[in-house]
Amino acid sequence: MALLEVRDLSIRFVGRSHEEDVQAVRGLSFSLAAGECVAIVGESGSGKSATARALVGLAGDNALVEGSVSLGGRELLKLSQRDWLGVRGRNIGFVLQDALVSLDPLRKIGREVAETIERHRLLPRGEIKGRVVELLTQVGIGDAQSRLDAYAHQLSGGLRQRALIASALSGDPGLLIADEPTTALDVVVQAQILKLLNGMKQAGKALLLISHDLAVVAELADRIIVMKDGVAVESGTPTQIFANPQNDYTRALLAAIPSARTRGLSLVTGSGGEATESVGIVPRLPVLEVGEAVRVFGKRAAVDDVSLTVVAGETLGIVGASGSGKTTLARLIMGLEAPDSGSVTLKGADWSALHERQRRPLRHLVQLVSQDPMSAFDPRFTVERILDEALEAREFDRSSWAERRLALLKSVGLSEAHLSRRPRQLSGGQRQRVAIARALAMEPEILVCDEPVSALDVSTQAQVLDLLLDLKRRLGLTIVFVSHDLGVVQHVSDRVVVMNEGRIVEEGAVEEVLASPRHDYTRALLAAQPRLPEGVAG
Amino acid sequence: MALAKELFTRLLAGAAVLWAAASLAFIVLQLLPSDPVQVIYGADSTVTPEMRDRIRADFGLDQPLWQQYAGFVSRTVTGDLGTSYQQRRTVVSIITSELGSTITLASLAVLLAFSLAVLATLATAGRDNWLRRVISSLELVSVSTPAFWIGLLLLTFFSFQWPIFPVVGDQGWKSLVLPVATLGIALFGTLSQVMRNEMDQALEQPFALTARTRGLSLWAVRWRHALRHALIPALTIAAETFGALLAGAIITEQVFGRPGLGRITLQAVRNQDIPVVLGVVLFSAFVFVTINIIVDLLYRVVDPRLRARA
Repeated sequence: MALLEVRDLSIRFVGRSHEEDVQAVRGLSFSLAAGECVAIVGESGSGKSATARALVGLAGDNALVEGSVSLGGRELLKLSQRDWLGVRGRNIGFVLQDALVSLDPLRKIGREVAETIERHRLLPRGEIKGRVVELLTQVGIGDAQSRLDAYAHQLSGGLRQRALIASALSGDPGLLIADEPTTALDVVVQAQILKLLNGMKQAGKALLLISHDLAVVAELADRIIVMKDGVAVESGTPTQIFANPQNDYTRALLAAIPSARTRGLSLVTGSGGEATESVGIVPRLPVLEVGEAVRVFGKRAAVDDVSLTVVAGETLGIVGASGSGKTTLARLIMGLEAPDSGSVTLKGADWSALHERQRRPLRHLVQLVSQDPMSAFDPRFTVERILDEALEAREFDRSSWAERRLALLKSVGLSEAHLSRRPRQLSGGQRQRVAIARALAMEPEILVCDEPVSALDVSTQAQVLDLLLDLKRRLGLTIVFVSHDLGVVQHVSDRVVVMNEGRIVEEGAVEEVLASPRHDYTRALLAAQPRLPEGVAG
Repeated sequence: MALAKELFTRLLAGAAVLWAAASLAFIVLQLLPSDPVQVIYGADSTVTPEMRDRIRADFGLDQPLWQQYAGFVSRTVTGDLGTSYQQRRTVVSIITSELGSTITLASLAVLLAFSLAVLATLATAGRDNWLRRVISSLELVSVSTPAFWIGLLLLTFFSFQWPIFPVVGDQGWKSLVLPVATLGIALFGTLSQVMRNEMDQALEQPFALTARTRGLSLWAVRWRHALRHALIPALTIAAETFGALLAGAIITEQVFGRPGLGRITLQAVRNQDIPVVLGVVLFSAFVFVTINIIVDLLYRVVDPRLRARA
């Protein structure tokens, strides 16, 4: 007898009129037993998160939930609001992504973890503190006693995600629902959290895992349900799904996962991307050189004696975990940060040593695409104004703007129709395309991409990566690609530098470094990379 | 350590603000076309030139302007705000004698507005129902109605129509009720609007969802989590209003005929009693500087993210 039995679940978000209604989930059925893990995988808008929320009765006031959800033989969808309160936390634990905002930033960790116990009166007051310490220790937080009074922002990403999991476990629920529990984390921490969740599964919890990334759930899930547009398009064991996907969408999802296999191929179509309008042979000259650069914040060297060369027309990947100094290095390259010692030169001339006034006329040569375009745009600007700002900064003749705007949008796969939209009215992928268009408007030679796809789901990520590679081929761009995701770096880069604690620990051609890593840290990064089972049909 | 350093910087900046306020007030009052002696003696024509000179010497008005300014600043530093031209009492004693009444009024008014706003916010944040619409309308009325008008209405009903509370004067707690209600109601609207806006936003955050998945009711999420988030902007507004009330509850004090700083300010301005006006200006500046420092410290108590990193 399964612990959780979902039959014919339908979720409909009721709008103001019939046309505005959204059918988020249609006819979803699955079951989940204790000690088992079912993963629901799909892109944003596939209905996976709505499903997770409906299972705890929090799909929203405007959600019409039909079908049947029974937990241990008890029908949940018929519960009154009052009875739901008794189920949440006690029978079902819920873990969201990004503990920085999923834990109350104004409350101490100890109090957050204790809340479920207090709410359900599971223990007498005096024993709660001891139990919280026990829980924190159980999820792998060392010296738990001293962490009780810490706030979420004072813990590292990994520690606070563990604390969030501890808070979901504190009511000792039989079912744990984890909605994108590792999405905000770097690969090393992600591997740790997945291991922790696996431990929960071994200990007999039923685990429902929600993710956009098939690779993440591969090792943990006993069964995978692939969702698209509210419908389960395919389900089966990981071996079935990976080795012999039946559905086109599943195949597309698998193909979209960037890795060494996919180098030089389009992630969307899977075909080889022969350069159609290649700009010919670019002379292999160094365009940017960093020499023994050091940048210290407080007492810590964020970048510690780093030297590297970027050659014209190549893509240089910079990989490292959070805090490894890769973003500071990117800022040095951008000329946004000056090294305390050492130098950065652009096209053989001083770059970091320039006075800002001298640097400004050259700024257009190095352009940035950042992780979160939502915060890189003025939310009140339309796409047209966003692009105009760049065109104006480059001092293009006003009469050429209209034509340039259209050309830019076209080059990133958007159209005139997007000109009047504001950032909020665009999807995540479209926003990143506009960010790229804005960078291109400056006619740069070097594009610095700082985690450009980390905030996107796998399918959208595939499209943006395809776009970047296409632009590189057509425009002869040089790309510095900063990421924590080895798979992505492997896919896009010609050469790679691995950073750890501010230093470059390894560098070389991608094939060499990742096929035979010499440094322990590179090996650790590789080991942490979520892996598809062998024999995946690509 | 970092806290001590920042506190020191704040105190220094506060002193600079006070000095600037004092200097500015001094300059403005010099530009006024009035003769202090006339102010001191009224339009009495029997003042002989000798007497006039003596009075000028008594108040230091015969010295060159820069000496008057230097004397004014140095006396101010020692806490001596000079002597009133009209009342022949020290300005400090005038302010302190009226201060108690104003502080009581301002504190109670802010407390009332704050309590009302907390209740309104807890009852309506994150909801869309008739109660929210009613309370939102009340807030709008409160924001858009001048305080004196609220005061006149309250007087009309609760003093004249039904003589529950006294019309004017200071007769213990009974005469406090209507002025406090007037200012409290006038303040409540802004405070409540800002707090609810903030709480609405907090309830949209993932941590509110997490709290609900622990089995907390919507009410408990508001009370235990979201309220604290709403306190941050409310603190700013409440503190600023408190400062403003201390120095300028003029109209309300006038409507209810209450003693207080507002009344003496009005008198002093009308009679061109320069030392008292200067004193009140300095006192208001002092109050604002102090309150701002206290509020900055309170932010750290409410929001741990603002505490200096060790």
